[in-house]
Amino acid sequence: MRRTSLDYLEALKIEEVMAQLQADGYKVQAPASGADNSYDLIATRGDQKIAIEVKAGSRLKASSDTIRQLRHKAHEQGFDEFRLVVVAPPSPFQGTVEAFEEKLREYLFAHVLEVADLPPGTVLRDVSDVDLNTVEVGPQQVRVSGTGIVDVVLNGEQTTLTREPELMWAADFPFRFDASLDRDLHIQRCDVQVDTSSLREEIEVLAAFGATA
Amino acid sequence: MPPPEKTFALVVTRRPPSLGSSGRHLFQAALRAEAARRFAGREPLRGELYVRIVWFHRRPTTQDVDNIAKNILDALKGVVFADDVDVTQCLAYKVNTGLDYTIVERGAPDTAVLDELNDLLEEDHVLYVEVGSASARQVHFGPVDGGST
Repeated sequence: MRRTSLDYLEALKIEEVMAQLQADGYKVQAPASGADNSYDLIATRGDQKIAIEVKAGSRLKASSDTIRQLRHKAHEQGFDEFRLVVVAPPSPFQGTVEAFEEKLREYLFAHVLEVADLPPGTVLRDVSDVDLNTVEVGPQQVRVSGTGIVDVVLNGEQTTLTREPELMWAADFPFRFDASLDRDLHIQRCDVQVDTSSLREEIEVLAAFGATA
Repeated sequence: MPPPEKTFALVVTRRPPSLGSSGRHLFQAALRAEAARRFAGREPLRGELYVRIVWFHRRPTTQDVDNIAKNILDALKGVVFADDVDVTQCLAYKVNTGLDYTIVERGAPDTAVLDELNDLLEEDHVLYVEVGSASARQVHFGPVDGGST
């Protein structure tokens, strides 16, 4: 079977973990590659015995059954520890735009009504945890995309979500953005998608207190 | 292997709010409801207890780890343990899952919750909370991760 970049990533990590454990005084075995239902590494030091599995972070869900079987097997076989080493691919982007979070906060305060995902009457209180995913620098503009958190107050009357129109409640939602900046790094346009999927959950919590329709 | 009688663990896909965050009351209500669902039929834990809080997040965050514990302890009080005065050890971690990390399972943790955790680790925010007995009254010094891989 053809190996993928994730296979190589995991293989490199296995070598790194093995070297570290050996430096810590462990005797390390690597069961035969490709063997069914086997750990990537077994480390022993004195009476201590550790089972180790290495997985790429993006494979955790797909490898769920395998990890579950190895975890239970390690406990059944009397290992002192089961270690799941999660390896992340190299970050595709590391960069920043000076004072971007402040610029985005100012922009969203001025344009909150244009964010269609938020219910009418929403009051924006803060913008935080802004992280950049991409920055594209062109001759006329800079495009920046990323994620953040909006802290808002929702209005029960405007949203018609509750039986108590005077009810207002605070919530925070994650959002994605795609902004265009001019050469002076002022935001000219910003598309924002707010993930309000947790709103239903918030309403259910309120319902538990008898406040919603 | 069933978990020992005096432990409790849960995992939720929620971002823990900071101490003064406006969303903390809803977060606490949701966490309390989830804890009550999982802890149904059991008496609140008593005696000296530890609480382990692990927040897995996919992107770097500026949120301080010391600001998340109190909201969680307040949510679990009266459900998982009778009184937070019984909590003598509180360990809070934040783990950026965008970087390499290792989960070490030692002793007899609740493997069902760990299986559940494993299925959720690709989510943006995952919160794991474990409560158990600290009756041995041991105080450990030195690096918490042993300084090894």
